[in-house]
Amino acid sequence: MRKIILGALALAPFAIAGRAHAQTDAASPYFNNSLLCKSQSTGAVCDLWLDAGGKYMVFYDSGKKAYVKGVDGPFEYEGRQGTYTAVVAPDGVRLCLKPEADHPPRPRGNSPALFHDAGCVTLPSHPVGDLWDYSYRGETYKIGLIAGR
Amino acid sequence: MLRLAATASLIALALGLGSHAQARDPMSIYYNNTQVCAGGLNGDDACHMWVFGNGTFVMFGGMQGGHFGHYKIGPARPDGKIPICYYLDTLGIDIPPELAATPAGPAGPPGGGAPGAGGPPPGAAPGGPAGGMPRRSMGCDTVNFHTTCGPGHGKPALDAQGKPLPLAKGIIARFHNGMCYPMQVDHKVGDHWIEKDDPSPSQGGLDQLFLLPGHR
Repeated sequence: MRKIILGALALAPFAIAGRAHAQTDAASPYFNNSLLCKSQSTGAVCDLWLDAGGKYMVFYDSGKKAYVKGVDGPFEYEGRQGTYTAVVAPDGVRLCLKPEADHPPRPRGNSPALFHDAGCVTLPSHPVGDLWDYSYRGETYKIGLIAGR
Repeated sequence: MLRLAATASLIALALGLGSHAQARDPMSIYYNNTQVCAGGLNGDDACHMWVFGNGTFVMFGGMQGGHFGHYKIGPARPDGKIPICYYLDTLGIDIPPELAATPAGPAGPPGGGAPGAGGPPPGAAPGGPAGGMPRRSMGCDTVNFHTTCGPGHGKPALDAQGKPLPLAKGIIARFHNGMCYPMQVDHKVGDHWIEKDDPSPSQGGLDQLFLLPGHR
C-alpha cells in the first residue's frame, strides 16, 4: 500500500503537468508566434502572446498620442499578462483569459477591448500568415497570426 | 540536530543565499512593476518595460507590440548611477500593412516640445522618432556599458536590399545591438523622476521615468 501511495506521489507532478499542457494544446499554433489585432474604427492595435505553459501577455497601442503626467497616465501603450486555457471548439479554439490581479485598477484607456479583460473568445482556426475579420462586442477587428515575436 | 543544521546550510549555499547574494540587487524594485519612459521635455509616452529577475525584460511602445530581450548591469559610476544595458533578442516581425499601427496623431503636447518627439527607454527610441521621421545618419555605439549616439556612430540600419529600415524596425535593430542607460536605482513604486543621461540628443538628452505598480 505504501509503495502505491509513494508511486502515486512521484507521478503526481507529471500528471499535473500533463493536464496543464492539455489545457493549452489547442493554442499550439500560437506558441512563439504573434496574434495581432487592429480595431477598424479606432486604429488601435494589440499583440497577443500565448505560451505553452499557460501564460499570456498582450500589448496595446491606442494609436492616440498621450503625454504622461503621472503614474495614472494618460498612456498610449498598455500591457497585460495572466493565465489562459485553450480547448478545441467546433468552430475553432475556445480561448479563456484570466488577467493577473489588477491592483490598483488600471486607468481607463483607449486600448481595444479584445483580449483585455477576463473572459472567453472563440478564435477560428487559421494557419500562420492568415488575416481575417473578427467581430467582438460590436467592434470589427482585423486579426492576423504572424510568424515570430 | 547538528546534521539537520548542516544540511540546511548546504541547501542555503546551493540556493545562493551566501553573503555575496545578499548584496542589494539594483534592479529589484523594477521586478513585477512597470517602468514607463516618456519624453524628457514633453512627456510623450515612449516605452513601457517589464524587467524580470532572471535577466530578461519585455519592452513595448514605439515599436508595435512586445519585444523580448536581456539586460546586463554595469559597475556603479562615481555618481552612484548604475548603467543598465538592454539588448533585444529579436529583429522584429514582418507586420502586414493591414495590421500596422497607425502613427499616433499630433494631439499637441501639454506644454512645449514637438509632438512625437519623445524617445524610448529609458526613452525607448533614442534619436528615433523625433518629428515622426528617423534620422538616417544617427547611430549608436556601445562600449564598456556606455552608449554614445549621434551622427557617424553605429551602423546604418538597412534591410536586405540596402534600404533604410522602417522606423520601428530601425529602433529594434538599435536595441538589438544594445543600448545602455545610467540609472538612479534608489526609487520606489509611484516615483516620477528625470534621467539626464539619455545617450540620444532628442528631448535634450532627458527622460522622464515613472514606476507603476504591477505589469500594465
